[in-house]
Amino acid sequence: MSLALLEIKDVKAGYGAAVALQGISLSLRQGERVSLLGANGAGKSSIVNVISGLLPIRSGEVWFQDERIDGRPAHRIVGLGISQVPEGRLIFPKMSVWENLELGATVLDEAEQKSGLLEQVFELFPRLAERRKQMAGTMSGGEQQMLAVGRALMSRPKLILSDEISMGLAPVVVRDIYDTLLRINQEWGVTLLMVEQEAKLALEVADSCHLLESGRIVASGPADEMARSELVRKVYLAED
Amino acid sequence: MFMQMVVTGLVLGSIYMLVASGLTLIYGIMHQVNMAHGVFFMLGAMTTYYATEVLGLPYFAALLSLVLVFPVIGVAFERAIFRSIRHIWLAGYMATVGVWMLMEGLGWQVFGTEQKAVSFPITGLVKLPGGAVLPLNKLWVGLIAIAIMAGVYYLVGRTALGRQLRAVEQNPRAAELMGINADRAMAKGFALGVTLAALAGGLVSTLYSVDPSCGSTPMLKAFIVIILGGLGNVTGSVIAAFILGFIDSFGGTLLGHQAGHFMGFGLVILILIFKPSGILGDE
Repeated sequence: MSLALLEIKDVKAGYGAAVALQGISLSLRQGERVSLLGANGAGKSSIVNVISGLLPIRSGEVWFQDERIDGRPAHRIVGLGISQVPEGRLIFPKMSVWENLELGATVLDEAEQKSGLLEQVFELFPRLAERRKQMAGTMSGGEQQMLAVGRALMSRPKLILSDEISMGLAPVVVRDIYDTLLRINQEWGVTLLMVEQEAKLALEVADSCHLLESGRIVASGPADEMARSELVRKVYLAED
Repeated sequence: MFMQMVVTGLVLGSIYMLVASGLTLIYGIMHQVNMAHGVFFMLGAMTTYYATEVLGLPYFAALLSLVLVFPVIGVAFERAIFRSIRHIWLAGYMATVGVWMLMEGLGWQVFGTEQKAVSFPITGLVKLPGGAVLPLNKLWVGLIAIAIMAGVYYLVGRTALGRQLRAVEQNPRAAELMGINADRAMAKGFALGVTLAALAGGLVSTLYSVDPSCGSTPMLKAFIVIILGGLGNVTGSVIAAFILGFIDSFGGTLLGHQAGHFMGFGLVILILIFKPSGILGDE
């Protein structure tokens, strides 16, 4: 028994000839908020996709709640309690908000559980409740991102992996969504692993942070310490 | 005469609708152009013939048996042949052509060359107010086809299975993240599509005589329909099926059988020039 909810041990992965992760190790405790920081192509999304089962690993191990999960297909990961808010949102555009949320609960079998969750998601995102019958693809980017988060919640996850929530959205909207994620973390006890290109945000919303460079973790630490570190300040916070 | 052409158009349209909606479902969910679609139409017709005329089952029981048997056959074909090469478009396409050739050839061996006909249990004529006289079996076939289509709409539009099929159609990767086994969903979509083709075959076998090549023409008509309606768009296919049904009926009756064919393909050429995405297709 270990205390970690999620543990990644020396994982290597890639796409064809391209190597995306060159030996990543990290662990998350229950209830923690961790962000992954780094440039485009540093491997942040690859970590998330390895955990979700979308990107097969070449070596190493992935453990979740003392169960080894690498090698399982993506559709069998969700049921364990790992939910992803994917990059680009990937909502189902030609389905209603309600249908999208219902699909998020595919792994749950009890209708009662689903409707309770639906109420909770609507309470977190009143906008989604107003638009439950609207086609998801006709909503604004911010609303679609809310839907992506709400949909991820519908499987009653223990761990949420979010990938570039801020992409293409107005700062106010992004702030709003992260506030809700923090609420989910505090009130529901959901652990968060967040990929975020916006370094300032990534450091603000997380307890701790890992900095990635070409498929390796080059620095890790509590978010406030990382924010003060020379490396992060110079490169990512664009300060002199 | 006019009413007869209208009814023939409706019946033809309803058959094209079943064949084409299966074809477009398979295309939408798997991105597979299924050139073997007519094979399942033919197998549906043959199964109906052997079940009724040889084994002596009541016609409606035979039709019901198609609903039980063809999903299994569809999944078997998808697993055995199409799944492994689905991601290579041309190979997948050629595999369906291969299945078409093989099964049609086998069909001549197994079922023989003589034309087969199935008798519909409801016979008689109905007199319309205008004085036109219509055979009851035609009307019934049209009604059954429309009822089946309503069932498909319910299944795809309102049930959890339908939601999962549409999720895979719109984004297989996101569907996997919801916990949906995309491969399995595609197999179910394929099974649903070919079952519709088999049902169409089972219905047509009561109107026209059938042989091992009887699926080719309905399949080609169905390709016209799904191009007219917009690839992957089921409602577009339904509308286009009836347009083509009327063209075939009126064109065929007034100008001769060949003219009906000619006009259908002519319409496709026009659509491809002026609205390549079809009647209800996305721009």
